[in-house]
Amino acid sequence: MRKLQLLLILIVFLTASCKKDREVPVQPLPDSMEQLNVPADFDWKTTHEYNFTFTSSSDGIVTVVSQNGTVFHKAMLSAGQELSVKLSLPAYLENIQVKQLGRIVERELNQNSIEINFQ
Amino acid sequence: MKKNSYLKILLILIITSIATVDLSAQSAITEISATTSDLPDSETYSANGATNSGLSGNTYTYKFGAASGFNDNQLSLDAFEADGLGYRYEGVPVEVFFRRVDNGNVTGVRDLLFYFGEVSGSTFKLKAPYESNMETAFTGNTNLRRGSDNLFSNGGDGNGNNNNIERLDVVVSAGIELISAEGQGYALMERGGQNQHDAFVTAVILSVDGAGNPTSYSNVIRVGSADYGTTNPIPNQESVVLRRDGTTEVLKTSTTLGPQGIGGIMFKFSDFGLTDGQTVYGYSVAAADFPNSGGAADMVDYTNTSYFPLTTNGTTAGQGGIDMIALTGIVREISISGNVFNDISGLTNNLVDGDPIAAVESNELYVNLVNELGKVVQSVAVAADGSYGFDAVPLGELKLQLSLLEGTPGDNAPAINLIPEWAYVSDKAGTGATPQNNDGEITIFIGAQNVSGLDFGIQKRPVAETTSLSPQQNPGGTVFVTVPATSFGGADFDGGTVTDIRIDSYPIGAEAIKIDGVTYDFLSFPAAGITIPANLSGEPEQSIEIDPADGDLTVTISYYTIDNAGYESSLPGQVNVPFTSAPIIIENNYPATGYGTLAYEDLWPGKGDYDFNDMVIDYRFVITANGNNMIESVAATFILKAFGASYENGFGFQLSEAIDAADLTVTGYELTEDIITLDGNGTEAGQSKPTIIVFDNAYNQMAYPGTGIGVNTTPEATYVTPDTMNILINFASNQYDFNDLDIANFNPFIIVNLNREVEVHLPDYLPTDLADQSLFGQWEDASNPATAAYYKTANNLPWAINIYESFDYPIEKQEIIWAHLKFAEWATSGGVLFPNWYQNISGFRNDALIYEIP
Repeated sequence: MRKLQLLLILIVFLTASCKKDREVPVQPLPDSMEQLNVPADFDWKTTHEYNFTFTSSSDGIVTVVSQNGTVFHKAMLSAGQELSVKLSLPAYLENIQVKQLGRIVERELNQNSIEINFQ
Repeated sequence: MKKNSYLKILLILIITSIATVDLSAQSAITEISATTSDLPDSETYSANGATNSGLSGNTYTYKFGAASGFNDNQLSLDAFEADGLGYRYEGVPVEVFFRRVDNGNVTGVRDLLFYFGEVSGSTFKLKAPYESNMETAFTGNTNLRRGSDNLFSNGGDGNGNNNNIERLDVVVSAGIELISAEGQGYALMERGGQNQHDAFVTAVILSVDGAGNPTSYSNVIRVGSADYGTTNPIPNQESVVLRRDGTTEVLKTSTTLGPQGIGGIMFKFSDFGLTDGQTVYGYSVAAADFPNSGGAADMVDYTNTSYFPLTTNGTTAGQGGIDMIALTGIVREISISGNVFNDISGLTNNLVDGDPIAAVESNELYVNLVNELGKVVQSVAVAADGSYGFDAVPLGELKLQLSLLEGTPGDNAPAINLIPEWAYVSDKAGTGATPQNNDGEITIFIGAQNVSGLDFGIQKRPVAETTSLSPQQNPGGTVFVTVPATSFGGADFDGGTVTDIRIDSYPIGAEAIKIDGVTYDFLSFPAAGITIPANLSGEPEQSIEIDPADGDLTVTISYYTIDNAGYESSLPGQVNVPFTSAPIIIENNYPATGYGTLAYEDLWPGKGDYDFNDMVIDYRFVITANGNNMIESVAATFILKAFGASYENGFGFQLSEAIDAADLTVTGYELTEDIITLDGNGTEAGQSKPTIIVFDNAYNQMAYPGTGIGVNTTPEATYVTPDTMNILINFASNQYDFNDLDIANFNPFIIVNLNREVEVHLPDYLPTDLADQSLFGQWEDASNPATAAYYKTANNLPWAINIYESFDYPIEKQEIIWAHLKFAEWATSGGVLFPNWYQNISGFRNDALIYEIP
């Protein structure tokens, strides 16, 4: 058993030595899930949640789409009435487009609250 | 003489002929543009005929200029045409010298002139004003109404119309540097009947001494009667020959002549072999008996009787009888030029202006010069700076046509066209041009002057957009619906702006349209359409409302945008406003990109092997809402793909506590064990939140293949087709909106091994009311209801994950971090790195550890 421990230490050492020579040093990855050092507040979600608030001067369907055309949400937007919608979007998504009546607004997804006003 | 001696002589003659051959590239003048005027100069006197003439014994009344009674006594040459091209006098000052050598008949100065006019008995009505001095009469383009008779005759005329002039020099003492030897030259005109004009020789003066005497010449051109062509450009008229000996007498008639016209010849400097950049000092004319052997050098000494005989006969053909019109000077081709502009303002500023343009959308522009017969005379490409020009053009009416088509000289003119997106907007130059006839064609009349400023303006038309609005419920009856201004749109180009739109026709599908408060129906809508002011984006600045016809239909409004130059888009835009008589249905999908995946470990509260394949379920919700955004139904699809478990597990999910389960009706679940109790609406009984159990035993959904652990996790085991289950949840009308549903936070869970009290949820998702609370905190589970922490180990590892896209799960006993190589970095970075770790991207996976569907 003691020999096995020494062998493991040696393997870890050699592995660390190899990684030291890499151009892009990264934190050594654990051998198993149980060795993962996961932040305590990580929620394991593959989505981010955003609070959208839409207003418009005209009645019409508002659409939230990605640049490749995926429709994430549609809703009827009434003139002068605020519409708030909580949407969970893929965490990798960086920006979206919001459309109504031919108008298009683009937004970066860099904050949780996003207000869109079609005038 | 021997035969070869004859040959030698013949050869010498040929060589001599070649050495002294006179160039003969001159052109007959075919058309003359001249201006008549009524000069006030007047002279009247009485005198006998000239001495030694047949008229010497008579007394005549001589009336010159205004005294003649004619009001066209001045005929000034403006331009003429030769070889199809127009020429004009450049206005270069010249001096005229008649080089005289006394002979047996004439000594001293003799002025021998003829005047056109009318002989009436003993009265001569002579149109031109009185001028007795030949040099003065011949200086410049003074008057085609007079000239010199028998200019180089030394004898032979029985009426004494002989002289002692050996050479006429028209001298520009300052010299002229030739800009275009091909386009510059001089003309000589002569009185005579058609095909009866007199011969002469001429050469260009290449240098002069301080007194203006020519010191060198170009080659000599010899002219014969045939060179005048077959047409006299100025018709026949009567004339009278007048003579003055000495400088103190008046002109006296020696001969009266019947009608004769005027013919002429144009000499280009290039005809003499001269080239651009050379300097010339005028030209000389001499009698036709200048011998053939005479060359350029022989023209210099007019006193050399070998080349300028003193016996030149005025009545013998080919000698000195030329009756030269009093016309001298330097001429040049008539040119026209202009520019092409991208004139975004059109003629609204009354100018043809803008940025130069030479091509339209990479298509080269041409200006075609077209004659009255519609044939192309010349064609030029517009230069990069927008300019164009024709260095030599014919006289008369011509058309300039701007086109993308290049004309071929001699062919019919090609079409005047641009591509439809462009328009002619400001070609206002030329004859009869108005702002209304901008059509890419300029008509001009070429007379005596170069013409410039023949400018064309073109511009790109604006565009009008086509928009389709979202469907809306048809209000029915006579109800007007506002068409948002933003539904319309357009743009102009190159700095132009949209200023108006024009609804060109009555909208399809409408009972009526109301514009700025004025209602139009089909019959009252103006045939020319309605123009509405618009902003720069082409959005109308007056309200537009439509009353749609009833039913399912689309109202289509056709319109053009109009730019600041007043030009419309080449194509109309459309605003399509769809109406539906049925209630509006709005569908949303979650996940939007396709199926998501739920992946579980089932040993909770004991830790699992982290292959996340104990239960693998794809899912997607289709949420249907009405036009008020209220949920009508949720159709859920679950695809049980695999379960690498020996436990007989079930699966369910819980909806938001904002929803009362009593407002739902659920169908589509597949329950085979007697472990689930449902209420009558299909939700699970005993739950404070709507809970739906989809199935209660995976082994009853997908048959165990007989080998491996569970189904579809052991590569060696037989693949089993996944089981799809469709749950339909109908909602009470108008009770819940999208936020109430909160579908992204639905709470899925598995029921472990037929034990309804053992549930496994996503991390930090709450257990249902039926879960055994005593299991929390057991084994590796670190759930703490007091802090709302659930289903996580002490080091925050989960028993389940929810992936936004369909997940390719690991094979049995292979941890997810070994199969999905970016999972670990995603987790340890708190989700910052590789948020798309589950996608099939190079370097993201170890395919050998991922279950592959056979």
